[in-house]
Amino acid sequence: MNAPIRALSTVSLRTLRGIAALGLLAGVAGCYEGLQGSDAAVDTEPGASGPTSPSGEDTAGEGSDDGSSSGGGQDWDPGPAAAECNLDELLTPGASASKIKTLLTGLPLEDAELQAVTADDAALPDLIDSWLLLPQTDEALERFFMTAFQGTSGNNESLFHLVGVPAVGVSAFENPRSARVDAMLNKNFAESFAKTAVSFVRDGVPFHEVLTTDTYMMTTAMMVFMAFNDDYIVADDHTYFDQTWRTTNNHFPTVRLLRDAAQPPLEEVIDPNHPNYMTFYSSKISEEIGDGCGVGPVITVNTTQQVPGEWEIGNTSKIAYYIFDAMVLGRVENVRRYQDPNCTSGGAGSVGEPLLARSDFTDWRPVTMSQPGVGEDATYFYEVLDLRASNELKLHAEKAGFLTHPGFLSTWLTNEDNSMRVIINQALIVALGGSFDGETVTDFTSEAINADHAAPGTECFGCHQQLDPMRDFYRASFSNHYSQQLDPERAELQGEFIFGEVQASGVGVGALAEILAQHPDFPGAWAQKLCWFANGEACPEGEELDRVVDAFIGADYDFKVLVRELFSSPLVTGSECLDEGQSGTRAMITRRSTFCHEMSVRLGIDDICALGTHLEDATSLQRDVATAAASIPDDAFSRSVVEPIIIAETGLFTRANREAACDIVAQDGFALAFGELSRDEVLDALVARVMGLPASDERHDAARDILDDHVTDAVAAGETELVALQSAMALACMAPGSTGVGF
Amino acid sequence: MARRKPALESRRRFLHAMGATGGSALLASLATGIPAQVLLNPLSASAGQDRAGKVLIMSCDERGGPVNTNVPGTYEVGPTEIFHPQSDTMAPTSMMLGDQAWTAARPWAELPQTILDHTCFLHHATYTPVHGEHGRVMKLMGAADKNDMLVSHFARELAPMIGSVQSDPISLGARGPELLSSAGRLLGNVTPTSVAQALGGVEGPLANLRDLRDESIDRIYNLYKEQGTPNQLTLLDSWARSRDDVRSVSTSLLSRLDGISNDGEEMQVRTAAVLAAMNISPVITVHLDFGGDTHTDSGLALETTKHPIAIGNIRLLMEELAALEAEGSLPNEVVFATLNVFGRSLKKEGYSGRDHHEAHHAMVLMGNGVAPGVIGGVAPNRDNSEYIAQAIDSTTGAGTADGDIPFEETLGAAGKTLGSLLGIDRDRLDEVILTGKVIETAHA
Repeated sequence: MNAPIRALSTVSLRTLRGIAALGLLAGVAGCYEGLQGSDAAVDTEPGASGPTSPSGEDTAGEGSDDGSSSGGGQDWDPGPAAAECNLDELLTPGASASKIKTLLTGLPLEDAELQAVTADDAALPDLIDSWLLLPQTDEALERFFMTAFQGTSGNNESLFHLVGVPAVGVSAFENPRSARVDAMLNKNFAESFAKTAVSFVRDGVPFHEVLTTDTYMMTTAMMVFMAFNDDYIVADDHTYFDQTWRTTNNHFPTVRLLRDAAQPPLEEVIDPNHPNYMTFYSSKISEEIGDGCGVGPVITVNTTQQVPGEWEIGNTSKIAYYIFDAMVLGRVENVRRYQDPNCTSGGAGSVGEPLLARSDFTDWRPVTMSQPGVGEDATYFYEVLDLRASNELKLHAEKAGFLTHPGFLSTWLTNEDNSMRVIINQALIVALGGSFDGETVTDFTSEAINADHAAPGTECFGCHQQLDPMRDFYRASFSNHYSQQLDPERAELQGEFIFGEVQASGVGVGALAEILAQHPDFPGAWAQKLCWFANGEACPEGEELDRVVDAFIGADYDFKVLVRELFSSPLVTGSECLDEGQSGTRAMITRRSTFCHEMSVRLGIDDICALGTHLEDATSLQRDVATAAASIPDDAFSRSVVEPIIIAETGLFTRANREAACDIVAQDGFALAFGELSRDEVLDALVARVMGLPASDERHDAARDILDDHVTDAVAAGETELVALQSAMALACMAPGSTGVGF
Repeated sequence: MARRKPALESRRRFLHAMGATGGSALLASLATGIPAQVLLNPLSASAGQDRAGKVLIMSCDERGGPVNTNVPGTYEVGPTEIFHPQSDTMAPTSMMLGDQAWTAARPWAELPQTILDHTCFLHHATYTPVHGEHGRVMKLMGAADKNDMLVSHFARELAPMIGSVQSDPISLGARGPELLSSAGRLLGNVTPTSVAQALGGVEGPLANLRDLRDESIDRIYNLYKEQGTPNQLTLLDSWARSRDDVRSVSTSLLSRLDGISNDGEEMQVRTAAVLAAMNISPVITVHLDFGGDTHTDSGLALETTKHPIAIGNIRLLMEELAALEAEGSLPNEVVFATLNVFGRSLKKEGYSGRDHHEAHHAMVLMGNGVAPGVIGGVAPNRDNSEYIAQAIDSTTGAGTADGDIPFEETLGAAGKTLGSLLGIDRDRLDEVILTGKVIETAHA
């Protein structure tokens, strides 16, 4: 890799770490010639350009998907506000510890823990260390990382975009019916890198390796996809290179298609010594191909030739795609007699269900990817039995942490117009918590700036001056379908990086990863991501945040140290005033992921909202709670917006949906949670576990009395004790200690 | 570093003074008091039938779908100037808006005349080609007071006028940049499938104990308030208030949500109509897809596929509202409007797709009190490479080079015109929208 890094001598850049995206890329608002410089501009934001008269040329944009803005309310202008610390706002040690333990583990504070932090604030860091060792923390961090690494938006369309063929419907497993396989694969993509990051946290791997790692947590199904995707190359212009089948070319000279018989199992289909080797059932043969075509029970297709009157795999299908389609997606492409329009199976058929096993989508393990050596083949995607036992993939394309992960790529698709602008901007947001600010850098020019977008002197120039040269890191590595870039002209493009007082250059996404991993904004960006997670807002910049970040760096980027130092800091505990201003004192609603995790672990009901379960595989309780909880806000991310989308306040529907979820949990989950416990035991558990009030909390006894009164009153009203206790459970579920953070 | 005081007597005194529950007074229920009105044509009301405020249902698309590309006002030049889909589905078709004939794509033109008689197409610009700036467009690119969203200003103005349950807008199909904010607060999206359960509650034995739980949760809130910080008190009050809001919603129309089976466009508009009837919020946004991000929409095929669906869903919305009004269940008149982050190019890419167009967008206005017609228009830019929105004459509504609403104020003018159609006071509109003028010809 060639990634020399130097500090800029003169820059007018600023990262946007920790500040609202006020005016982000505001200049791009007028990012076209001829709509600038008017006296009538409505500039209310720094750097914003208002609309002006249409006096120029080329007034339509070029499809600028780049750029940042605050889509939310952070740039609302309420007028002057006091910034002094209000002592009344500070949280008690117990409230702080409860907040942190809930966010990290979902679990309530234990009585001994409350007593410890009440006696001595210094107890908190050690408690955090102990909480970080709990398995529940892995689940909470996984949800955090899923949002932070922006890999969760894959869908049917994006899956086929990566494959390079038009999107189509796919099969599901039957008896019982599963989610469709595209949804299962996309769920793998969404969770994969978050699980990878959690493993880094657990193992103490320096966290900046999330940018450079060649190891992802994967399932077998994901390994099959990765190997196939590496095999099947789609160029920038959607065409297939000559090297399309660079790994499995000529591996399938013959396939056999069954008209009537059931689909043979995978083990036989991929066994060269078995009679059913490369044999597939196609529902369309008997349905669509007429009697006059002479179809027997088996159609044998010679895939190496096209002979008039002989059977061929039709349309744009390629034989390796045919095999992948059948194995993973449960489909078979068209088959027809060459040059005989009367003998065709028409559209794609079904093999019944995917040949992979359901368990191939859940057998998570770390898989290391490396490029094949001289004379060595890349991994064959169809050798599923070997893949199931493997922790390695041999792939041609280089891998660089989240930057090349299929979840991130699926979320931020590109095309020739956009040409990697979106994904490079999102990469900056994820890695550095920053985006382009539209200010021109005075000592930097590049030939890679797109003149259509960014003529010098226009307001676009400041952004595109940095954006266009930087996207070449991606363009050198990937085509517009995120296939490996095999166009030699593009593969040699040198990316130029200038951002946040760092200027560097290099070729390919691996070089970009190295630059980002060493960038000074990286550790602070991840501290701020945790601030948003914990406080629903950024932490104030200043000495305390610097101390936390320095501790993170000093611990060789051990993420556990970052969590411990930040979450025990007044920045998050809200227990002390800081010179920088008040922080961490905000009382917030419990967002959906935290609420669902909290209810799951406090009640002992696995994944109660089906956050990690396909609804097709969910219990009726999970399905009902998931539906009810769907409108409880959850953390999210947005294109070109630096800050995560975090909704911390309640509203009519948020409240109503949470109440519905709590009622369902109580009504249908009571037996699972409390079984045969007595009334007193249930009430004790509701107060201590669900409401999160340990015995030493001064609210504990009163809360216990309220629940007890509630049960008594309900029974007096004619309800059974069971129903009365269920009602108390719903009540506890709606209490501030479970629906809120910071009490 | 300073630490918190151990005792907070002043806070306790404050709490005692403000009362126990801290919840707001219940807002007026919808269950009663709606005058029975059966109108054969629910959109026939005019400015003369002033019911004060109206409800706004707005479609937003941060992808910048091509809603601007096939509306009347874009067919008055040759086929190599402004490109339209060539499919019969989207064939140029004559339509009457008031007493004037116009041409538009077939799905627009074939809307029932009763709907077209209350439909106006307003040509303007949004001044940004950037997807991520949808939020800024909703704030009129800085021309909305306090940099708050237009729909949030409208909701606050209209709530007391129509007596709605809440004064925040509701989004039913928003993702990412389409999420709404109000006074600095980001508002969560509400999925149509969750509305019925949220408002109707959960069936079963626990339903009988809801009032008792309300009493008990107030006791719990009070318990937390005794030692609560101001921030905690604020959230506790919000919970109590939102609970009161939920309880004040009439459930008489809930059965109309029985068919809401997914969160797609059709379900969004069906749900929006019911929420309008429930008078929960003065503003509801949905997401209608006219083709999305059509850079590579070869032959404008996606546009051809999506337009009939989106326009069909607008028609469905109007019909649902008509049915509700016919049965006397719609307490307020409703105006529908569109506002995407930007329009899409009309000329420069031909039939190969459409780029972002910061200089042209079409706000479709439809509903009670809307005069049929076309406001503004498009004209070539200097080098004739593209068509852009014209300045507008505020008196005639015509697009003209020297209109008193210059190009750079057409977005503000669209916002003010929409606000005036909703019944918001003109002086107040001038305070919350800093540019543009009301275009009088939009009013019936």
